[in-house]
Amino acid sequence: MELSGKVALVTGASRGIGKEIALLLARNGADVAINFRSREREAEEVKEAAIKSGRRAIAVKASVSDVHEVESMVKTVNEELGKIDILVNNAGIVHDKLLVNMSDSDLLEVIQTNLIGAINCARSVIFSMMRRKSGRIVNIASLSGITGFAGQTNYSAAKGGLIAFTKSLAKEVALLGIRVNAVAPGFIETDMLENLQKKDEIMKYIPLGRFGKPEEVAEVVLFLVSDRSDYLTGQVIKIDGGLVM
Amino acid sequence: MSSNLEQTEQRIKKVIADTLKVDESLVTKESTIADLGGDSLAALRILSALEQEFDISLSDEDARKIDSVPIAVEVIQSILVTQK
Repeated sequence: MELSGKVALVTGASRGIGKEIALLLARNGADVAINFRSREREAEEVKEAAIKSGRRAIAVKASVSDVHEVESMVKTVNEELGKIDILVNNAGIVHDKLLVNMSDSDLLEVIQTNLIGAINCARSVIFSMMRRKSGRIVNIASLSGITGFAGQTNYSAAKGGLIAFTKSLAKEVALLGIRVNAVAPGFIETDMLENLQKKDEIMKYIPLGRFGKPEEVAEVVLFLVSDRSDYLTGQVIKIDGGLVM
Repeated sequence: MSSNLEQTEQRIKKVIADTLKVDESLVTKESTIADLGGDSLAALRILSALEQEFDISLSDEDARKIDSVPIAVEVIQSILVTQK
């Protein structure tokens, strides 16, 4: 299989897009570490499902915003599954508010998790990838980081930063055989969309006429971590039903 | 300094000088890789060259620490001693 013998770490993989990514990578041969922050039961279920597809899998608790927890998570994965070949920075949160109403914690938590968290994880695995001259990193950004959305100044700043980070890191490590790309999902049917207002109105602007599924994001991530995308690095692929062209 | 330690240091200095293509006299027992004009890519080449020279395999944790002659000596000597 395409990813046989590879070890993948997917952050925020207890549900939503991260869960589907972890399961799809496992179905394609990767051993997977399922990171979670608080949803242990769900993460264990994802782990069991990955094991059912014949791969090794572990669930590993860490808040990506905490550099020490990230270091210890990476150590655990190295010990239990082996060195990390594939990192998918998926963990993300939203605290949607208008800027005028935004608290310090609304701002800082979103930046800490969505942006600094991804950088923490990349920094923890990059040296090992550099030494092995091989590695794949995919950052789950958002359409919000490209076009901006009212009510998401914190989130779009973090995701826009993540896109810029993707490009800089891609340039830094390209010659060492490490590829770094991002995907920018639009409206995907996950818990994050639960509180979304005016769904019908948004739908009118999506050429494909529906919201996306987490599995559809996972398929693009699989492509980006496989050898089939070997000439792609530093790219941001929008998965949004054509919403932004 | 025991002769073993001295030997290890000499070999490390030579590896660093050869990899960075600088004169061996410029590499002192206090030199850092950065001082000698090496960037992170050069540091990776030095790590591989050291592994070859001493026939050892450096863990990522150990390898990450090595940014100077004294630290290289410390890390490698402790591996050599453990191997014995």
